[in-house]
Amino acid sequence: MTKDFVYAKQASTQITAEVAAADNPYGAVQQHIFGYELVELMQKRSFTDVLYLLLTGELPTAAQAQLLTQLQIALCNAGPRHPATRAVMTAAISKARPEHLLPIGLQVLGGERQGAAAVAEAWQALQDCLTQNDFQPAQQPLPAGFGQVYAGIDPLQARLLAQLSSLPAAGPALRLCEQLQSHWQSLQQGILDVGLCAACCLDLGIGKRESIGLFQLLRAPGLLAHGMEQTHRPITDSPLLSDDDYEFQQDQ
Amino acid sequence: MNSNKTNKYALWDARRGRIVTKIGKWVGGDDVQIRQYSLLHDLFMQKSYMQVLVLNATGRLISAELACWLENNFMVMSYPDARIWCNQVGAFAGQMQTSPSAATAAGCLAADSRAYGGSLTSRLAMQFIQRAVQQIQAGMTLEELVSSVPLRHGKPAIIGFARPVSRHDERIEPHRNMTTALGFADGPHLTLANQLSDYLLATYGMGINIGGYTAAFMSDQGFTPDDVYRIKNLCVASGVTACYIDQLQQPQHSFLALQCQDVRYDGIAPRPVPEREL
Repeated sequence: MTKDFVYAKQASTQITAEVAAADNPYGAVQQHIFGYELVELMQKRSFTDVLYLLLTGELPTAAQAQLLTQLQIALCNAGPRHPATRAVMTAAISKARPEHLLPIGLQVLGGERQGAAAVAEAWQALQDCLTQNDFQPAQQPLPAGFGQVYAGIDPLQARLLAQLSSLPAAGPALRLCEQLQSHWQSLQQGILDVGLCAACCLDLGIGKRESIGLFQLLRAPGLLAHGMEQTHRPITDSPLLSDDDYEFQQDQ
Repeated sequence: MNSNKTNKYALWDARRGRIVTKIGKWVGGDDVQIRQYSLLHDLFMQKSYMQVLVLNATGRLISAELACWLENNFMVMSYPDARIWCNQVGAFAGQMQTSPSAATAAGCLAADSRAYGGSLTSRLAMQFIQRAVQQIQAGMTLEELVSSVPLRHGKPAIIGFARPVSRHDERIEPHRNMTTALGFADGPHLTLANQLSDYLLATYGMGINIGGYTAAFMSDQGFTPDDVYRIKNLCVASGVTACYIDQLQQPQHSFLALQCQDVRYDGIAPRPVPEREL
């Protein structure tokens, strides 16, 4: 290798410390997550607490845990009309291997158009609004994380925003979203699921890149469930369009 | 529902249970249309797989020479060497005995990277070289162009002009020869890329790499950055599959085996878990 070879000799992490067994350097007898021992975490804390720990390095307060728990429920099921769920259901009923179903859904969910990639964009847009002095929604363009679904406000996300904003851990980002929702609703623009996730991440101190993966993780249960349900059904239980319903507009 | 609402939802109403497309159509038992071509009568046994791949990705039916260029370009984007990041993903998939599709798809996803891989990097490199040609044509000098780029490790961070592992790119000379042998002349993008390479080599000891060369060549061929991102999205697949196969029957955990102490822990020392707040 040349003198420009700048790669480290070993991998490193601040998240996990594994304690090797006395008689086997490859076998771990203990695992610590940001200093907390795994079994002790199991005894004393919830899954949500440990998820927060993994993403931020610290355990949440009760209020933060409540906000994250409610966000988990809010996002846990995108529903059977969401493109990611439909991708999973399509793969499942056409007999894709079951272990591929969740990855398929998460990949489709990863898109830039109201997908996981858009959460980071919304995170940044909200952060930019928050750092402005005397922010006035009327003087700003519609920020990322807001928009239309089927030519109007997403009414379910509006309800979820109202619920999450009412919690003690709701901070500047969720309050900003309420302000933006109030301003933009007359123009039929509203909070999107990606904006909701971004706002909660900001208020919870969860980073921009981490917000992408958290959105995928929180959307995963519904993808998984809808996919697995379809695996039990015959391939003929879903539509396959006839030629009449397939319009090929051929360029000359 | 009033007429306003009907209009508001007209697009979606027209697409309920209906697909509208320009890419093609399967006519069961007869033929398949790909854009304006019959797959079985215009393409099958007459065009190469690479020509059809580019047709599907961009709508352009490219020449046999350009398809040959691209096929050979794909060939050198996919080394069977598990030190390369995407291939390492394939090797880990082999260790886990995943399906070959999972392994190869995972490796291709890994190579959808802004650091290497030939798909996203092609898009980024094409964006740079296409913008650079415009800037030079508008009067900017080569020195000004380079100094407008941020530095990384003391060198200009120009995608396409330094590899993650900083070594001479063995693929450039064969590509130059292939370009000439297939009858392609250097256009404005490749001409500038070569000038830039000479300048960067003399000034910073870093020359053009295969990503930069491909970006300039494909720009000269009239492709957009998005076109090439779509054409090359699976270009590392073959090497990933090779590394997956290599590890499938190897003993468990034997690929780059790690003891607990081999991953350096930089974090917080052990601490007691506090009880939950009530």
